[in-house]
Parts: sequence; structure tokens; C-alpha cells
Amino acid sequence: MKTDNVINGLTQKIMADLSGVSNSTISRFITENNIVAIDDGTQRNLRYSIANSRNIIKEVSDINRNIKKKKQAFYNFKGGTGKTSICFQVATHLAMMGYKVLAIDADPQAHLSLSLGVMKENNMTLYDLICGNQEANDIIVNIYEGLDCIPSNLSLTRLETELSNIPRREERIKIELDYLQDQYDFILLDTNPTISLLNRNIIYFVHILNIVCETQPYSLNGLKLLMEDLEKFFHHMGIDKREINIIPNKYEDRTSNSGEAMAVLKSFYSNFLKEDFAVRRSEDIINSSKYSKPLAFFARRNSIALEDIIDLIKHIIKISS
Amino acid sequence: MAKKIKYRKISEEMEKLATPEIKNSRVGIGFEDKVKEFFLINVANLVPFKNQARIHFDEKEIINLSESIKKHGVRQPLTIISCENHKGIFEVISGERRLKAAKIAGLNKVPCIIVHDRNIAQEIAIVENIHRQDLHPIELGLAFNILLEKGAFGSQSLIADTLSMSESTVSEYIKYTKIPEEIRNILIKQGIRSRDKLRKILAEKDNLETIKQFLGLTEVKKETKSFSVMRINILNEELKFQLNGVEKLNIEQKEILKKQLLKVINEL
Repeated sequence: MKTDNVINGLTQKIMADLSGVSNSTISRFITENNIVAIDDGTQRNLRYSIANSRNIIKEVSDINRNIKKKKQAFYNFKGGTGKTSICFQVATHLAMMGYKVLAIDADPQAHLSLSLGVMKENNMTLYDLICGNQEANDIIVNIYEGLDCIPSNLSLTRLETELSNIPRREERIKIELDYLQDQYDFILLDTNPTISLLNRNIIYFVHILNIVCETQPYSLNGLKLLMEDLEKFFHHMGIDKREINIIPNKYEDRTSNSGEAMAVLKSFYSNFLKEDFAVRRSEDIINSSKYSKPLAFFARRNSIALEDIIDLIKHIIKISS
Repeated sequence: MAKKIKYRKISEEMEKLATPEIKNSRVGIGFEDKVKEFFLINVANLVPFKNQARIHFDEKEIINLSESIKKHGVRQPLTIISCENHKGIFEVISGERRLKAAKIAGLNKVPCIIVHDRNIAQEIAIVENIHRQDLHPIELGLAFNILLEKGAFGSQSLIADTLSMSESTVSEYIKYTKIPEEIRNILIKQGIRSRDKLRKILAEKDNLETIKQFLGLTEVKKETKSFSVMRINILNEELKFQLNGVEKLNIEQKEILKKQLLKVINEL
């Protein structure tokens, strides 16, 4: 695959998958409304602009648009579980489905910003919002229709020492960002793998914690520590428990350890799981990060990665409504 | 869509790694101020708090406590603060009795909560001890003095608020500290805590002899010998008179008695 060939647009098949309707419904809608594709070609390969695709999906699908639990984090203090990759896919595809999405990069490594193509060393970040008297609207960058981003870079690491000297130090993000709820359907935060004051702020801020977890032993041990820590945090802060959605990731059908890990998740955490679901390990997800393009822009027909991401997104919409 | 998840039997090793539990373990960042974490500290590293409010320790009570500690362990952690000049050494803010008892019981380590702010430490020392309500009013007064001197509290009324006492009580306890030390120690040791008695002693604070008389520490002189002049009791609803003392009075005393009795008669 060459990135030059990737057009930022959706095929009819992918629109159908995202909407949960048949290909012919999409095709009929496009013909009836004289919607023009970005480039010429055979119908199978035609791609339509993001703005057009969003409108088509909005019109043909009956996906719930009334999102109540808008604020969500992709969280884990185990590294390398795929938080950023999953956050990237969920944010971009939700936006393509017609939702208005704000993706907040709360990781100084800035891989979400990188994937969204807005990684710059001189970007303003959450740090400037909390410590630099900046307004959110001056920091937010538009990516494409329906998708905005608060980017990150290494300067975000400075937030930690500043936070520890501010009163109500676990509540700063909520204080600064809560009003943005009125402007978006989803506010998704990608976190870095630590237990830090920044992450405490995020837990305090969100409705739902999407915990991305690999199907392997360290990750399950990490999950046990994480759940214990969260339980204590909610208890000692005197706040309601945030909803938890565990996302098993990098599942491999052929390995017995993956199967064993799934059995562990099912027996201990079934309340927090979509039944019989995991995101399978796939090259597509890795390529997606490498080329900084969401799956929908390049995935082949029957891509298992896109299938899993769409299943996951539908689950997230369900638990957020 | 084909069902894509295969579940496999969970091995013992995996179960050990992954079984969730809520332990009483140390907490992470963000709410450490809200959790009283306790540490097991070697008793050899614990020394009394410099500004300890309690002066007197009842040995019997400590022996009893040590028996209970032998059976049940130290149930409530001690509160300690790190010693300013000695790394590894801690001062015991509250729980010195427990520490003494634990040593007698032969414990090497005791559970402790560590506080970091000296002013707070002083406050805890007082508040914890006061709320146990067995500190002598003079011990309290001395502790209040320290609190004010050290600037832990700006005024008596702040102390009163913190401890939910009236300001007048706080000020009275502080006044008790003006009683000479020798007498103070006797009062604390003998557990004399009636306010009337303490006030009387305070009023005579410069007059050691009189105080000793109040406390029955010197023999009563003969001149002050007293006897009962008359007693009137009711026994089974019948009035009983004992008037033998009247005979011992001299003429002037009898006149005074007459006047007093007339007053009583007029009021009947």
C-alpha cells in the first residue's frame, strides 16, 4: 500500500457497513441525490468526500444520535495495549458516521496527534488550557468534517508539577472543559500509560472509561491492579463509579493464551465486556497508524480490522446512549 | 458473522496473576491525602512526641492494655511524625500508651499513620487525647499553652472551636497552669479534677500552705477544730433533734445562734 493512493473518502461498501444498511440503499441514495464521487472509476472503488459520506450515513441510517455519556477516555496504565490505535479508529469513524467528535490527545508522546496529522512541536496543548489561561477554542484544531482535536506534544509533561500545586487538582480538566459537552456528541481522550494527576483528572472528567487490554498475562494482571486502583479512587474521591468498558485487543485466534485470557475476562469482568468480542490482531490497524489514515480510507473489503472497529463503535454508541 | 472467540481453560498460573481483589494496599497518586495509610514501624525507632500533652501514665492501665495487645494486637494505629534531625526515627503524636504497652507485650513493630505537618501533629496530639477525655484539665491547659506559643492556633477561641469546647473552659484550663508545678503534679497524679477545688487552689496559688491544707496534705490545726451544734433529721417521717452541741457554745455564739434561728422561725 502506498499512502499516495489513499484518498480521504469512503466507498459505498464502507458507508453501508458504518450505517448498518445494504449496499443498494447507499447506491440508490447516491443516485437519487446526484452525489458525485471524488474521483472517477468503477463503482466498487469510487470514494465520496467525508462531508458527503457523513450526510449519506446520517440520512440512510437510524443510528442513535442522542448520546448521553459523551465524555470517554481510552485508558490503561499498562503500555502498548493499543489505546491510541483504538482511540484513533473510534474517533475518526464516529466522525464519519455523522457525529461531532472532539479527540483530546492527553499523551505527551502525541501519537494520536501524529495519526490525525496535527503533530507539531509548537502546538498548544492541555497544558496551556489549564496553566496558560488559553481558551479551548483557541487550542482546538479541525481535522475534517465532524472531527476536532486538542493536540499534544512533550510540553504536556510539564502539567504534572503544575497540577500538584493547584487547588482541586483532580478536577481541573472538568472545570476547564466541561462546557464543551454542548458542542460535541463525543469527547474522546487518549491517555498515556501512567497513574498521574493528569490521568486522575481524566477519570474524574469522563462518563465512561474504555479500558484497552491485551489478551495476555501481564495485561490481565495490570487490569486487576487498575480495577483495584479505580475502585479506591472513586471511593476516596467520593464520586460515582465511572462506567467501565473493557476492550480486549490484539486477540489471536490461533494462540491458546489469547483464548485463556478471554476466559479470564469473561469469568471476572463479564459486566464490563461486550459479549464474545475482541479486537483481533491485524496488520491493517498497524498500517493505519503507520500511514496516519483511518481504516475506512484504505481497508479492503472484508477487512477484519474494520469489522471489529465497527462492532466496537456500535457497542460504544449503545452504552453511551 | 462467524463467532470469532475461542475460550480456553484458565490455568492455575493465569488465575493467580489475574484474579481481581481489593486489598488494603498503599494508594497511588491523587488521593494520598484522603487515605490514612499505615506502616509497620519498629518500636525501637519510635520516641515520645516532644510536645506530648499527657504527663502522667497509669502503669496498671498500661499493663492491662499490654494484655489486650498480646491477645488482639494493636487495633488502632499510632500517629507519628518523622523526627526533624534523625532519619528513620519518628515521634509518637498519639498512642504513646499503646507503644509502651506494645513494648511490654513484646511486639517489635506497631502499625502507624505518618503525618507530615508539625502544626497538624500538635493539633492531632491534643484533639485525639481530648476526645478520649481522660486528660487532666491541667494537662490540657499546658497543651493549650504550647499550641498558642508555637502558633499552631492564633487564639484561645480557635482552640475552643477546633475542640468544640467553650472559650471560657479553654481560658480556665490555661489559668490552671499558673498553679505551682509541685501542686500541679500532685493534682494530676491524684486525679483531682473537680472544678471547685481547682478554682479554690488557683485563687490561693501563691499560698502553698493554704493549698496544702485544701488538699489535706498538712494536719488540721486544733484552733480550727469543728463540731456539729445541732442536727435535725427526718426518720420515717418523724423529726429527730440532736442538740448536744448547743451546750458547748459560749454566750456570744448562743446569741448568734438565736438570731439565726429566729430568721428561720420567721420564714416557717
